[in-house]
Amino acid sequence: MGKSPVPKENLEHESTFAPWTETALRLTLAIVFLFLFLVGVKALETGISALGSDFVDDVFASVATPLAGLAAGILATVLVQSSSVTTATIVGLVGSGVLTVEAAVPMVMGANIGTTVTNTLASLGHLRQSAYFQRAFAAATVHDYFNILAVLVLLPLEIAFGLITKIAQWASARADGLLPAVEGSSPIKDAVKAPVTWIRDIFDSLGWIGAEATLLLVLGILLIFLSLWAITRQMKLVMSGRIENAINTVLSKGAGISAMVIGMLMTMAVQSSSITTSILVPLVAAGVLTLQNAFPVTLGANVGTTITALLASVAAESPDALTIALAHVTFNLLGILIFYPLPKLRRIPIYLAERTAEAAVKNRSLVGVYLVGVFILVPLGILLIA
Amino acid sequence: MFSIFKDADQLDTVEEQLLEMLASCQDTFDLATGAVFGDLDVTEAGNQLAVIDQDLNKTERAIRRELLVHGTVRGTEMNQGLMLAYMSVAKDIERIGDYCKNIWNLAQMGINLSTGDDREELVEHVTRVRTLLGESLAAFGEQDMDKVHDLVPGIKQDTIHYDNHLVEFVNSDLPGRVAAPRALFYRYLKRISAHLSNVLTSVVMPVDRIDFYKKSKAVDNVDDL
Repeated sequence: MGKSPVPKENLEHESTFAPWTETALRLTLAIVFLFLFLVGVKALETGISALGSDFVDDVFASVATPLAGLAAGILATVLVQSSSVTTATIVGLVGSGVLTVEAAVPMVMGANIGTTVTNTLASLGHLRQSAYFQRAFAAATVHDYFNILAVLVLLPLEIAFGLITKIAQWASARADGLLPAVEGSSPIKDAVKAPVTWIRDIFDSLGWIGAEATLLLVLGILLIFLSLWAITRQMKLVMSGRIENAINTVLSKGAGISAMVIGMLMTMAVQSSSITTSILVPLVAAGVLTLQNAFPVTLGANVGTTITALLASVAAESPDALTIALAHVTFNLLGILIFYPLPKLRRIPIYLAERTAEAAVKNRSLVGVYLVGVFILVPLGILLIA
Repeated sequence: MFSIFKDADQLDTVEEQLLEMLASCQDTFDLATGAVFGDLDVTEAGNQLAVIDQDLNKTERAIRRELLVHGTVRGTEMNQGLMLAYMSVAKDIERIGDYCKNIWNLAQMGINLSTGDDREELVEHVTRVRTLLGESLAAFGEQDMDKVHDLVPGIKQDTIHYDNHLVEFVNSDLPGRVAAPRALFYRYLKRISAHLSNVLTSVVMPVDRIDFYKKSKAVDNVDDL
């Protein structure tokens, strides 16, 4: 059917452009914003380097223990509602030498937990109807529980043996030569460095030499935040039809590795795991997608979101930036390897999410306690104690 | 898993599914009336009808899921009007299939409408509905607003006509075995026509007025502007 069988008045958001022109335009914009994102990482890295050793000591002292790093990662991500922003910033911190890979790994784990707050908040939109809310809250908290369980298992192993760091360092060493100039200069690094140098020159010409480091730091974070938001928005619009296709495939064919791969590809395309997981919540709430089938898509989203840190590492000077980005990948892959293959272990986060949702429906005040407790009070307490 | 690489407007898929459903209704109507007029074997027609009915129900559920996915993925970019219109249209088409099944149920109960004196009139009504199903399919598929404005008033007249017959048979002194199936048959024709009219109104009426046809309120009516 070439024409839509409904009145034109019912058609909204009709595009002025031909679909391919619009897609090409949006993809071009996404590439421009990706460049700005890399410039942001570079500006952040340069700003941090220019702040001097006192700042480095302060930052390092604040996340000196792994638990403090974990808590800082959770709180920072809850604050910006995006693990991509947090991990890109961590990559900048590691790239500038402020943080060691070992100190940054717990922060990355924290970012993984913190990012789940977005879809937990999204599930609150279903509070009106108990059955819907129960399913929505379970769909949201299964992501929380998986990440918390993965941290409970992997953080002690990281502290004791440096497991994730060692795997990431091994992978990073293998990537040297495969990826464009992990160490040293590359056309991408040079292209990204140029605007930062221009900005520094402008600051110098304005006589802001004293505040240059702080301004670069703030500008870097702003650029990372805004460009990621813009990339996500453009890519979501470009990918909507494909995402609908992919979700319909998950609905018709059910769970499994393919659902996980779909979740990963969707997230890589839109650069946001929150977009993917927040799409799942209403579908589970409406009852068209089961929690068991949504779970592997969520795990795929966890892996897909690591693409941001990998991209950020392209702009960084130190090869450690790539190592921490690979540590993010390693953490999520290990989490899946531990909790997904064996059905009994796979059931644990699902079981916990279902029980929490049941309790939340019986006592709505638990929702607030859970949200504030898991995402604010516990990490804040850990940070204060540590 | 490669579905993510395939770009497609899901609403196109839904539109195709709606047309397939409507085309299936033509088949179910032919099978049901063929059985109740003794032209087809009742059991054989029933078996074929059951298969089509299952498909209709399955497609209706698929459309609901696809519309939900469309709304969830697109967020504020979704086509709200179209989504609501298609939900309504899918339900109407599914109901047409159900009423065809009810006509077949008459045949299953041993009713043969070809044996009465009113055979010719009944056949005329069946032919009329069959023609309307075909014309509606074309008008809906082509989004032919003029054709819809031609068809809907006629269908409204038909439903009044069927209703009069229904009242006539309910109050008649004829034996129950003659009057009751005819009353039911007219009732089913009336409902099929009414649901068909609803499907067509979605082409010309604003979303809040789907099912409530009034030419002066149609979106293509410029007289009031």
